[in-house]
Amino acid sequence: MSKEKKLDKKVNRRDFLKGAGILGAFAFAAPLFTDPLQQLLGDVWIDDLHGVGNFTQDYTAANVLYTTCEQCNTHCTIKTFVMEGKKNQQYSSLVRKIAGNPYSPINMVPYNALDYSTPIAAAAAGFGSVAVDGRGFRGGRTCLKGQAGIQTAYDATRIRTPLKRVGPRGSGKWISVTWEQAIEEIVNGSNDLGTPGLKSMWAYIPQEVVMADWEKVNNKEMTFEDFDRKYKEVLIDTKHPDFGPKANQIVNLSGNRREFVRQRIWEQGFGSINSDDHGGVCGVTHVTGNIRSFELKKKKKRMYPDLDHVEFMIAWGTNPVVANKGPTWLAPKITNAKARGMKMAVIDTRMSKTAEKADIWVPIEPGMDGALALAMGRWIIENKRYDERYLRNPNKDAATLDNEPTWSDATHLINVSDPKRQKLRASDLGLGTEEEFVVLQNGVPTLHSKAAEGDLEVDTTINGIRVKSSFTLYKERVMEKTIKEYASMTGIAEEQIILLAKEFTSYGKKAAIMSYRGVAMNTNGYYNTRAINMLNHLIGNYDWKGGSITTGKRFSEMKGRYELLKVPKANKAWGIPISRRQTPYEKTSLFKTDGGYPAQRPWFPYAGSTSHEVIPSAAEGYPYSLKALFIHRMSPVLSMPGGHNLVEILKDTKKIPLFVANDIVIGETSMYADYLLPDLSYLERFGQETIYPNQLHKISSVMQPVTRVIPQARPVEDMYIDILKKMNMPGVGQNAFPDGSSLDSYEDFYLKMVANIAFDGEKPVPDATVEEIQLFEETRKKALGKYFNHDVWKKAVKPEEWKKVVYVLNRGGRFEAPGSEYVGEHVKYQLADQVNFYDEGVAKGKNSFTGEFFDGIPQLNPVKNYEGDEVKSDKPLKLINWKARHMGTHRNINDTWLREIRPSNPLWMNPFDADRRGLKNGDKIRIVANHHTVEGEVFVTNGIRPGTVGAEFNFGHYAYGSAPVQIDSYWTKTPAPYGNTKYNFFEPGHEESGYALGRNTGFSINSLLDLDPILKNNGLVDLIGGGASQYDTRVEVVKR
Amino acid sequence: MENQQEILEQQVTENISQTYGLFSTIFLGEWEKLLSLLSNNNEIDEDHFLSFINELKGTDPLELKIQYDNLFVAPGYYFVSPFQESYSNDDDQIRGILGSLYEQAGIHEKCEEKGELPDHLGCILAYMQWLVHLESFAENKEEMAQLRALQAGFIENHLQWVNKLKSAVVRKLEYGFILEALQQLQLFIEYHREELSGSINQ
Repeated sequence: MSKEKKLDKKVNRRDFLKGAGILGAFAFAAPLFTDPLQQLLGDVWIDDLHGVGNFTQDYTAANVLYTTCEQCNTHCTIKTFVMEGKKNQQYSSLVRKIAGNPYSPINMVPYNALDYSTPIAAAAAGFGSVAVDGRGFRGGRTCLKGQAGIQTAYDATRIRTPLKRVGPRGSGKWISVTWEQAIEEIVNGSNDLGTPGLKSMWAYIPQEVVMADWEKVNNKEMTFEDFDRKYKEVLIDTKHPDFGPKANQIVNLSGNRREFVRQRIWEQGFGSINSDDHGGVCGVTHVTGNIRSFELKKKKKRMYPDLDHVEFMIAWGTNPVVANKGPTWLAPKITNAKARGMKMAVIDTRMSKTAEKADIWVPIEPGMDGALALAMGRWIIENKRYDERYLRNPNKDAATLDNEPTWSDATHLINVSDPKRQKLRASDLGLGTEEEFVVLQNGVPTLHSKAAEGDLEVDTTINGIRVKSSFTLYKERVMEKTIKEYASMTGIAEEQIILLAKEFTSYGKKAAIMSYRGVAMNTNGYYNTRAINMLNHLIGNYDWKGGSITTGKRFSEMKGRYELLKVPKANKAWGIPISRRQTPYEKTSLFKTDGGYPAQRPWFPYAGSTSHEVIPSAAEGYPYSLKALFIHRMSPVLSMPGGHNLVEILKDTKKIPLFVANDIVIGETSMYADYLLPDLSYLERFGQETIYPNQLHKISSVMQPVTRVIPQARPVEDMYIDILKKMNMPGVGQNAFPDGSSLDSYEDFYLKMVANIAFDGEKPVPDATVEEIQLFEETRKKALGKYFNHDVWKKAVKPEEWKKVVYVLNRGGRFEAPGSEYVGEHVKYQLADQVNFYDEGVAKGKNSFTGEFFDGIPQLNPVKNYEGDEVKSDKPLKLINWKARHMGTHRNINDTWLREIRPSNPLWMNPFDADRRGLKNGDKIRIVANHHTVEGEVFVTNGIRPGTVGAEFNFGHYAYGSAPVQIDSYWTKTPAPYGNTKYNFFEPGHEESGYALGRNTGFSINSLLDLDPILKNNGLVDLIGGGASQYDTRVEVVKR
Repeated sequence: MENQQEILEQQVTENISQTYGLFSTIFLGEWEKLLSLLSNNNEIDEDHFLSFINELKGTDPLELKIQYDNLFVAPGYYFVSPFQESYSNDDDQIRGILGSLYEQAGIHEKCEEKGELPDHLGCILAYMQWLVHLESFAENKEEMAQLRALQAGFIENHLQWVNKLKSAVVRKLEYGFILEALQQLQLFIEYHREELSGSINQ
């Protein structure tokens, strides 16, 4: 090819007089109308566009579809107003507006949701005209992120076709290929890329077969050589059969659709144990601390108060009017609660939007939440402000007599003679079985299930066994430090600690804590979370109106009419996950062969997700390497601690031989894939809410397509169906479900899910009327065009189910009628179980580095690395981060409307710290951490504790349409003069109006996080909770 | 003599139309078609402003596809939007207007078959090919003048952004066929614009 400078041929008339040899081939060949000229010279410039400038454009139910938002993890139930697509556009329709679903209580606070039986025509019409009653009555609330979802779907940088990399990974060069070619090469390999196919790396064998023979090897009934010969083609390592089959080297990291992708495709199709979600860098430590504070049969993952009746609430490490599980319902609920007189304390290092509305703001030292909880616990115990009657109930019967739905283990005895410090069993004293515990009732050992009440404080010896009650162990822990010492640790005045504890214990059962990940994103996160739970334990506020609630009731989705997660003849996954989640080191073959402690990398006996360890572990080949990595809706490079360090691993084809990503835009991680496949945005597809609802009602929302923007995009589920079919795997195609029905497209799965929802409960939903069925079809033809395959949809369920499926789809889910949330003074959906001061499961677990036992009672620990040493830094400022009100996930950066709110993430700094560095608001700065440095600008504010700095995450993109998109870079260099307000671009905190700037503004705060000095390629972690630490890094800030 | 001049003018017009067709083929990425033409010894004279196309002889279509896909298809580091709307600050109706024009002209299928939006450069050039081609249907000077005014207006409204596109491509592509094609397209459009304005002495 010639360089630009060589082109010196000017155009002149001679060129057209003589023509060029090949031009004749470009003679106009299209058929002309009889009088094209007349046609052209007629009214060709007249454009009859519709609806432009019409501010009251009206709509009916034929323009309305309900679905589920995915602009953040709240998964709000939403209403979309959709206009039919024009012939000249690729997209099937245009979503004109997004609001809340008026049938759903999530999005209708403070108004009541519409009665579920309201006809959809009436629901769409609303109550009165838009001009009179306002939009709130025609559609419920949704937040700014939700409304901007239109821009996520119609983003100009959407991937339009399957792409295959050209050159090395990350070269940024791609070639478009067909889906067929992509799937063929993913399955059978690519000669030109040199990537292996799944077929060449996959092998599976059931666990029972292997372990039966391994047992023989251990019993000398079979030689290792014979075992090796028999299994070397199917096991990852015959010396370590517990690693599982080679199928485990096919790994998935995905943000959602867990049931379909994890349970059906991975755990029963491929038979691979390695499908991880984002929890490891999100709330897993907090979830672990919560779940383990209660009996496991009912997983209480979160701490929510009954906001409608609570009189004193502590928002601890959370910002519910902006983040948490949704400002759409939390903000109005909290506002209303404040209006009726609720008092609120907010424990947060910075003045968050919630803290602005608090009666008490407690700007705690980051990571010291456990210390504050123990301090409050000390004061409550010393002043006997706990509910003693509640705590003395050792079982359900005793609790019921006191009108208490729950009871605690406060009186249960712990065997402190045993290093494992387990709860004393009745069998230990010859009183009963191993399943029963022991309490002292008036000093007499009694079965916990038989005692009317137990002694709260016990420290004695029974039959030579030293025992203490759970409460005593807790009391001893809280008494280890004085209030003054706690005050020093937390940076909170003694008076404020006492005030908090006093207020918390002044409202009977109508006080509760709302807590989230802010208390848990550090190396002591599990213990912090447990310590906070115990404050709720002390007042026994569970299931009480105005107390701590246990939510999550939903209509059955995965079973009922169809067993969606059961795969006939499944390849049942087994083995050790590469991230070593929920695996005690001591029980593995590596423990023996590696000589016990310390393990090379951490093992996590309790945490359900440790996804941050997947790629770093693969790089180390510990415990084994991976062969294929599939990533969908997750971006480790942005979201993992020091994630930029993962780039070199992702680029290394020896460490990750095959890398496939499905994405809607080329992201910071997917840009390194071998195959990058166009995914559907949430407005284009079926799906489900997979985290949890958080209402006092029974709710199941449904995600369904409301438009199609990219013709070649496909749901990731369909790609896996194709791959599994090509590999003759179970779980897809004919007889994929236990009832014999098939799975040929994702509609087969999700419409069956809707059928399950429709038929669950005391009685199923009604049939859709003839009118509603007509509207259903009309709306979808309009919204989806050729992508509404009526026959495929209808055949996904049984004929008698279809009308009920339509009924649910027409309303975007199924919602229990409000008004039945309480039974007397209690909530209807209850925990109704035991709450635990003592976690005996953790007490018997061991640190995989030191081999030391963990503690069943919350500890206070400094920031520790994997080796157990305190992490010290010469940097003076603690670094924290938080979710912005307008950036719920990294995908939100595509939405111009949101970037207009605040185009960047300035670093918050207290004037005290700023003055010492000569910084003023808006100054350009360099943020220097131990392993990385970034550039940004400073926001000087009293709204953050001195000694601490912080910023919002989800900024600092360098892909995801940020660098390459001409529309943005062009636009941001010469911003259009729209808007009415003069805007100062670079004055943080004054974003009254503004320009969106580009997508690459700000900095990635995760990139600053400290790496563990032992692990080197991953950050600091909580060994019990399993989550990545995000608040344990220190930085220095300098002016640039 | 007048007749011969008319024939020459018609030849020039048709060649200009075909040149738009050629550029449309290039910017729609129809490499197989282009390369097959070159393989039949259809060389372009060395002094012709389109002679840069000769260098394509023997080029692997895959190489061209990679260059094209990375510039105009894959929204990655090298991506440059080939759509007019991306370069317009204030007109969000471009696609609707162009789509209506194509439909009225009866040439919308070409663009639709390629799966491209109406404001894709290749589609716009295809329409311009049609617009110039229509001169052969003009029955009098008045119609001819109207037609040429439409062409000038279309260039003004829908092809001036090629300058911005070229600048954007220059930032991504150090050298390569598509860059060369854009350079020559820019010159060609400028020539045609001036020719339509009557500033070029015929």
